[in-house]
Amino acid sequence: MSIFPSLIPNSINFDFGAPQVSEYSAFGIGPIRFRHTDYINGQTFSLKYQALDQVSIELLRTHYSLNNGTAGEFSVPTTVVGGVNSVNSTSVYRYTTTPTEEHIGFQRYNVTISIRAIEGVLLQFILVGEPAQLGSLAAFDSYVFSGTAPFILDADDASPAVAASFILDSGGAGS
Amino acid sequence: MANFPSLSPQSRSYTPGSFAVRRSKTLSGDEVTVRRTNAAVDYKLRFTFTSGSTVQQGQIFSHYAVQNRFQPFDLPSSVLQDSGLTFPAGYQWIYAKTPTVAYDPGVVRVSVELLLVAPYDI
Repeated sequence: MSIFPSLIPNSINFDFGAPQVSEYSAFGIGPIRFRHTDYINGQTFSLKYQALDQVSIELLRTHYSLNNGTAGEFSVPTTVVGGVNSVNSTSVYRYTTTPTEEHIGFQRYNVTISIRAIEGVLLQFILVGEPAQLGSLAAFDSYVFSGTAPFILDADDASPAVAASFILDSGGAGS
Repeated sequence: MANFPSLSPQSRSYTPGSFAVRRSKTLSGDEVTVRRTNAAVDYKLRFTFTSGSTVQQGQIFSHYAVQNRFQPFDLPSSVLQDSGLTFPAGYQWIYAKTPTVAYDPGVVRVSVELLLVAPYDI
């Protein structure tokens, strides 16, 4: 998990977040509320930087890029958020939106960055279809396929590191 | 393919690319993020060109008339000068929308918004 650059913003807007409460109404009684956890989520910080120099803007650009934009999670030094300590210690931060830079002069930049504290998990799914192991061929004849198993969806044009195939197995069709 | 005219903008703003992401929240407040691709899309650049004449306006509109939102093109170094911006190799720009022009007495301002797109054959 990366760390947000230690750049002190010129101004900060702060949203306190919300507890995990759901609510529904029923006839004749008031709203019924459920609190799911004691965890306060969604504290949002809007960090406004003015007249950043080239080195500083490169730090922000690089962090946003290496963090895969709004996908990744990161920690933020408390100095960056003005020492606000109302965020749960186990919270992580994510970019709320993609920041936009304004280029105001020779290598001088204004940028507003919006980040959100949340109890989060970064899941990474990697689909790898290789190497597929071909079993022995088996003749079969059943609805809807007719021919010689296995049927292979060839992925040759994808240039995999190892020759790859997707195999549609007809094992349950009585072969 | 004609490059964008070699002009120097008076103002510039830049939005880096974003990644396709799916977010799922649970009642307990956990949030799971799934990133679907390694490729960022929607890089955007906005320029304002200010001039005392309509020469720049003519160059930009002539370029737009040919490229439109269909033909991708490259940018000359003059429009990105000293910005330190880099982009994925092979990607090119298209017009995000029609350029607009504002006339004040003796001042012509042309606003242009560009979008970076992945390579494709026409």
